[in-house]
Amino acid sequence: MKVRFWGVRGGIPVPGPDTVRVGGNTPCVEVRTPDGDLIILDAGSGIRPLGLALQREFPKRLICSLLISHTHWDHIQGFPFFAPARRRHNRIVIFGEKRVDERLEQILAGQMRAVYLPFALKDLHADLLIKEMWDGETLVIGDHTLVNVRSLEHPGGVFGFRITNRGNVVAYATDVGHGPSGLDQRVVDLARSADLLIHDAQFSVEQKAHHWDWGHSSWEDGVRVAIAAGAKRLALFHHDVLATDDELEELEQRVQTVFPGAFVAREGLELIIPARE
Amino acid sequence: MTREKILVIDDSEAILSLLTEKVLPLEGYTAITANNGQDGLALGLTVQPDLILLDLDLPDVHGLELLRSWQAQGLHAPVIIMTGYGSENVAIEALRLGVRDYIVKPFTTEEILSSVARALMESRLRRDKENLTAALQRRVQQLSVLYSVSKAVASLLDLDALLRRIVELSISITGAEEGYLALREGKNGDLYIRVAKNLGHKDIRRLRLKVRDDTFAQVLKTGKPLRFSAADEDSTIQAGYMARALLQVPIKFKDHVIGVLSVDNQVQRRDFTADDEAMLSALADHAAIAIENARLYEALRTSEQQYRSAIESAPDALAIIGNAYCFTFANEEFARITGYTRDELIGMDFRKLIIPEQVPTMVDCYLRRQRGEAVPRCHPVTILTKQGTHKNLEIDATVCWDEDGRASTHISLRESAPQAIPDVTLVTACYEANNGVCLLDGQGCVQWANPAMLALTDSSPTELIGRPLWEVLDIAGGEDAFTTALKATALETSGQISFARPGNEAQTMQIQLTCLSRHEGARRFLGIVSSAPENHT
Repeated sequence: MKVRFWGVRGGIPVPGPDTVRVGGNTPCVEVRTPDGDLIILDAGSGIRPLGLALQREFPKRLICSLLISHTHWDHIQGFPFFAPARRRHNRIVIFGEKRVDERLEQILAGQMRAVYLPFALKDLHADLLIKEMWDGETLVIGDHTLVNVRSLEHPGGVFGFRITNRGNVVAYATDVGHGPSGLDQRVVDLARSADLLIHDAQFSVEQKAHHWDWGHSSWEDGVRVAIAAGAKRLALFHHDVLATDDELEELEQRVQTVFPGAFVAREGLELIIPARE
Repeated sequence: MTREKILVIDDSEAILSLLTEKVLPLEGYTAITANNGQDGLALGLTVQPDLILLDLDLPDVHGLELLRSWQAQGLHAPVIIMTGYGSENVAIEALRLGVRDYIVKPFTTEEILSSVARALMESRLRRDKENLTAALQRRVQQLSVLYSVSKAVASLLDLDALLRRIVELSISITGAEEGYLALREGKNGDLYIRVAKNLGHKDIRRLRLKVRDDTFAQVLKTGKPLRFSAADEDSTIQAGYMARALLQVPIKFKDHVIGVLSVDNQVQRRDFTADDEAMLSALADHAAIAIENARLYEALRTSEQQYRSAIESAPDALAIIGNAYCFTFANEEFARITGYTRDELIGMDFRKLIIPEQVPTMVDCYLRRQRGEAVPRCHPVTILTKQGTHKNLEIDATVCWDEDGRASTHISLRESAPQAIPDVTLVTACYEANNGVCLLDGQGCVQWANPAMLALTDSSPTELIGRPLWEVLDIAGGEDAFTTALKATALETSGQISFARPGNEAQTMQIQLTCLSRHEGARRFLGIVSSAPENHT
């Protein structure tokens, strides 16, 4: 499997001289399987450059699954600018939480109302298939690719994903908090024996102590989950808007002394996960 | 509900294990798997699944080929296709081949389950309909059996034959090997087996065995059916006999348990069902009514026999006249008195048996009695015997009506004191006498009056006959005085009483009474009315 980061920042895109190396786009991760399945995790602003790249790679027809962890703005704001969504022959299957209060389609269309944008969801001419899912469901992406969906702790709720393909596992747990009493076992289950765990690391340890109920984690939480779950690699993800390249690189060095498989997720970083025997 | 079998054909181990280990069993389905086309094709035909989930892209055979083969071989299970995106042409062909649904990857497990539920709905409805139809047919069959049963038992009045029939029917409607019927009898209401049909005995046996059996006693006590099967405990039932399955129902009449109907299986391992229980209970209800009917009929027949033999051998001459003047019954004494044989009397017109002079009076009484009018029960009669002789007798007649309103006159004849009975000449003389002559019954009511008497009282025969004489003549002292006079006359044979002439109070009349018969209940008086203080008959 191949994993490429297109947006790693939380909250709001932060372009500027201090974020050039790590990147300022909000969350978007591309996952490809050896069978050709294309999964996009979240539609933050990072999905815009991903869309351009996919246009070049699949000029005739693109088929992909877009998994929305939750609909906070930084996770959907890039979708209107996802160029493949404008092409008639592309099929984009969007998976998101089935809510009792509002349909996923209404939420996606809501951020594209005329007061916010000059074009609407219906102006995206691709074959957009919006599918809602419950906690605990499994998605069949392809013949050999399944995704387990778990509901985790975050204000307003969030889904974590465990993508499996021929024994390889990528776990995605962003915007997730663990509370003061210990690790959320659901996150550990999701990351069990993962080749790669992408985990929220918005907070410093000090910030986490003050805002444990904001639904975010510190790098320390990520490391503890990775160790508890037996994950091989840990991508620290969803960086704070104030975190500079220097600070994040310094953090990476510190974390690697504790968990050598850990690294700071950077825009453009591609990770190749070797197939299991 | 039976777990529906779903055959999943997919070469992906990931999808097979997801569906067959996690998704389908959680919803109560039984999953069968094949990871290639050949196995899937064969399984589809052999396991007869309720539904097939089929991946189109199989390594050995294309999914469409499987659909074609199944169609050719008459497999009708609904098929849901699972496939990747971009195979629209295949989808059209698959729909032509009758697939129920088409699910394109990527999909959620929820989508699969709702598609499965939709596809199974039709076969569930079809199966429900088949089950309901079968249940309905079974009920109709049971009802028609019960109908014929109730007809069969209701028409039987012989109790033993009825009980045998009930046991036969119990066995035939429940398919049991044995059947027993026990009834409560005697002062203590003990239960006796009256009829039994045992395994190996073709015939039904008539028994009279006292039941000492806990299960019978329980049914008797609770008035509720009892159903056991050997499966409950791996031994035979603790009954007075060995059985693997037992069904006993109470026979109830007006809330009283009058007996127990029991069937059982000794050899077969077949249990009795709730249906069997309902049928046997219904039979027991019909049986209860029929048994009571038969018992009543038996009692009625016994009492009729006793009554008849009492009448036959009675010392009195007894006969019944139907509503067409003809005798319908006569006992030996009646035949002896009249000189006819009993056979000759049956169907004979009673008017032939009376002297012509008395026929009009007797016919009048006969008809009035039949109309329900008050007519004295007893009066004298002179009969004409077969030998042509006259016999002066007393007749006591009452009338009965059957439920259809037909009247029959029951008569008895008694020989009365010969000296007291006036002969024809005397009757003729009385009839023509200038004095008022009348015949009174024991209570002083007029039974017969001559024309002079009618003139004296200014009455027609209809007005006079049956009325008390003291009332007709307005005798001073009324009933008390007259009754006292009658009693005295009965003791002394003759007596007299005076009264004022009707319409002329100055003239005193007197009535000379003669007792014709002292026989209690058939007492008769002859009254002769005259104006003179001295009177000669």
